[in-house]
Amino acid sequence: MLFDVITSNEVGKRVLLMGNEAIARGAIEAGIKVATAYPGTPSTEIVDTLARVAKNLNIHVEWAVNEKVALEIALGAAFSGVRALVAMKAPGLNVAMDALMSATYSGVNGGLVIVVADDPGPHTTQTEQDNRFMSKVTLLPMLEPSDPQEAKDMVKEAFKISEELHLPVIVRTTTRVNHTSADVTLGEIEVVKRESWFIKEPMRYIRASMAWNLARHKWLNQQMEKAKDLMENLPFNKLEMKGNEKYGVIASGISYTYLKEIIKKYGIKDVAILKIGAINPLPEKLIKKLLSKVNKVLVLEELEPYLEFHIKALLPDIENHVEVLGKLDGVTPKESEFSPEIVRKALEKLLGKELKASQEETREKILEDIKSILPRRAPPMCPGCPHRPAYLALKRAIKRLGLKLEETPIFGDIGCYALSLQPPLEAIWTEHCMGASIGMAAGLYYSGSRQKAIATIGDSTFFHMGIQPLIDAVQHNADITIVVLDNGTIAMTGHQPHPGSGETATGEKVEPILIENIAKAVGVKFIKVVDPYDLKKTTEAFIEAIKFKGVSVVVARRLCAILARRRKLTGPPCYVDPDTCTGCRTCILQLGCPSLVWEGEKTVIDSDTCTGCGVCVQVCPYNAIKMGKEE
Amino acid sequence: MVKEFNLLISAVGGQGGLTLSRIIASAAVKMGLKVRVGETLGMSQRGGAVTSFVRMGEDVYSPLIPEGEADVLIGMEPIEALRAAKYIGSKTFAIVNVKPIKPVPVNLGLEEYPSIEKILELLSKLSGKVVSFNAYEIAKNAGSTRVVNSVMLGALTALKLLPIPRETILDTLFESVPKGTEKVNETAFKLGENVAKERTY
Repeated sequence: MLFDVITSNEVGKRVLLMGNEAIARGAIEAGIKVATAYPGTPSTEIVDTLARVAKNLNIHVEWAVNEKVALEIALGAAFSGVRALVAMKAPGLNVAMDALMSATYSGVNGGLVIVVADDPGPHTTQTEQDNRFMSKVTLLPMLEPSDPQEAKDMVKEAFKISEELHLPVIVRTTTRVNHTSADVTLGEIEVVKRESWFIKEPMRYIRASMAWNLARHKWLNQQMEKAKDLMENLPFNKLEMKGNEKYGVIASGISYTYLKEIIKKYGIKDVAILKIGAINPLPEKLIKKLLSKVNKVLVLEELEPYLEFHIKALLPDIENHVEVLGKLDGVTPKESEFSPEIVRKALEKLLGKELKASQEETREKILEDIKSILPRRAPPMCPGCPHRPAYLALKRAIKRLGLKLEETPIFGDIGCYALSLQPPLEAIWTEHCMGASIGMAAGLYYSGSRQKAIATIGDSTFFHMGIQPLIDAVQHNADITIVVLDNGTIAMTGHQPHPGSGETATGEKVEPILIENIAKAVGVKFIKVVDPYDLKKTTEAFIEAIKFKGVSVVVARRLCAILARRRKLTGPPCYVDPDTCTGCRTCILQLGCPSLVWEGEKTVIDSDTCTGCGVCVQVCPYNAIKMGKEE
Repeated sequence: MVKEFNLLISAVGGQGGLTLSRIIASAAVKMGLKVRVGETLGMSQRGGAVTSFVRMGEDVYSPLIPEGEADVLIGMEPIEALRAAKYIGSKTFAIVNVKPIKPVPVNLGLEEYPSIEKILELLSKLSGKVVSFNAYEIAKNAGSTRVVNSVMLGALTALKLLPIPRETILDTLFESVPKGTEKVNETAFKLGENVAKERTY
């Protein structure tokens, strides 16, 4: 059904789209030829959506190995005159920055739009990095939508701006726009017929000449001067002002939607509103117009005081005295996302009067009571997850070698397996950024520590940024053990394929690239491939690997349990023989599998969720857990 | 014209809460309503807490429900219903599935699962209108434990809380479920309608 909607030619049709689907639609309406990304929440569904319709639209859509490669692919396309989109989560921009900085001097021919999805909250990201400031580092135009409709329209417009200025354009979103679904009105799909052809222009594309670099820096600044009027006049900036208001609010992104709702709900009249969609350059004329008419302004923006800094810098140009409320005076927080309540309270400060909440204060006590009895429900590793036995085997191996668990660092990396931080496994010691586990483990060894350093890294994370530190470790003969947890997919973001999966984003079958072959090629002398569902063999392989002097690599290979279930590869559920179960709870205490349910005296297996992996069968000291029987 | 209608679905990942929010929102779009669905997605793991805000009406701009202003809470699991407490107010109608799904820390003995009686009592303190039943058992009777969401949708429809007619909801349900499961979803929906009627009259 979605397939038809995303590519529908029915202009004016209203459909329900998630922000990310709307962004994909905007790119389709702009007639893109290439779209690429590395999956990362909250940006993933953009390229997920485009991948589904790629063949139909005759566009190239792919999951690149990392964000830098993704951007370079998009640049290659945009240099040749066609339109390209690249999407990434907030830290993805850090990975892509090297490529992006040089691209600002080269510029583009076909439109290039970079969608960067920040995560105030944070909901699923390592930091609350505010990438609006990156527009000042790169000197590139940046836009920010406040809802899915605007996200679609803005992406489409961004391609035009990109071509007019010959510069990449960044569309910065936040989770609450990426993952909000809303009614969106479809626009026309442009037919962009262009021949891809790259023209030699050394001064633009070669950064080896310092004279050229200087010239291009000047060119970039000239383009951004031109950008001022262009960005000022976009419909995404909107001044709602009669001219006699005492107060003003300047808002961007999702904050604008909270503001609009509260203004309506409380019937607030005396407030002029400037909604900002152009983040760089900012619509200075509109800002000054508002500032010159009011005497108190509230700035509503999540995370850092980006707008506030710029607005305050404009104050000397304003004749009247304007008080600016925002982050610098603590009226709104600099951390986490906004809520209707935060915006309501900020408006109270602006107006100097109370906007009463609809609920009486007596609720507070009940809410406290509830909080005190509510058990947490953090996402656990799934039933049948192969990472669970892999970490259990690793812990067993460490103990069997006579090492202490609390003295043996297990460096972690980014992916589902980071959930091993939770009880009962409590396995990983670190989780920083893609591929960091291997370099950090090597660093511990080089520092002369007597601790055995172990790195655990997922398959896709290995392809993303794990190969380079592996090469480094081999070259310097680091005595470390690397466990690659290979579940055949990029699981956490929704099962996108990676180079080891044997298929592409658009479903083409390709030869899988095997991790053990890469390890062998770079000179690793100890390589083993194990099935983590076999606890005994996996433990033995880890023991040998840790004992080995030098870099050892163990690939723990087993398909992600969710994919296995989808492909009908899982077995019948295991079951507990209640007569044999002594209620020792070893299975739960060692594994913490959600399918192992404690019923007060004995363990019961939830047959709805159990995948029959049989790991608990191997863990039970009394043989009380049995493999399920095929019906 | 609907000004503002706020529905909150709280569930455990894997229960079909997101599918349910999508069905209701799509039905609302068919009715010509302005719609906003607020969700945080992106963990494919099963078993985490999942909340969806489904909002519709002329005065709705943002994806988040203000505290205490849910018109309806669909609690697909008892403690998840309770986790939504701050959005419940005197106007909220809570529809709660009483079948617990124990979180791992509870099975480990690190935390305690409160009694169903206690959960319902606390919910009633926030909102007088609570209807509860075992949607899991009802789904099982309908033929599949995977259609708990359709049981909840049936109950919601029978209570006439949505500004959307039954026919439109059923049509959208059939469009949204995997081919071949229409029948079991319809049965679950109807059983959900029945239990809601029994419990409220």
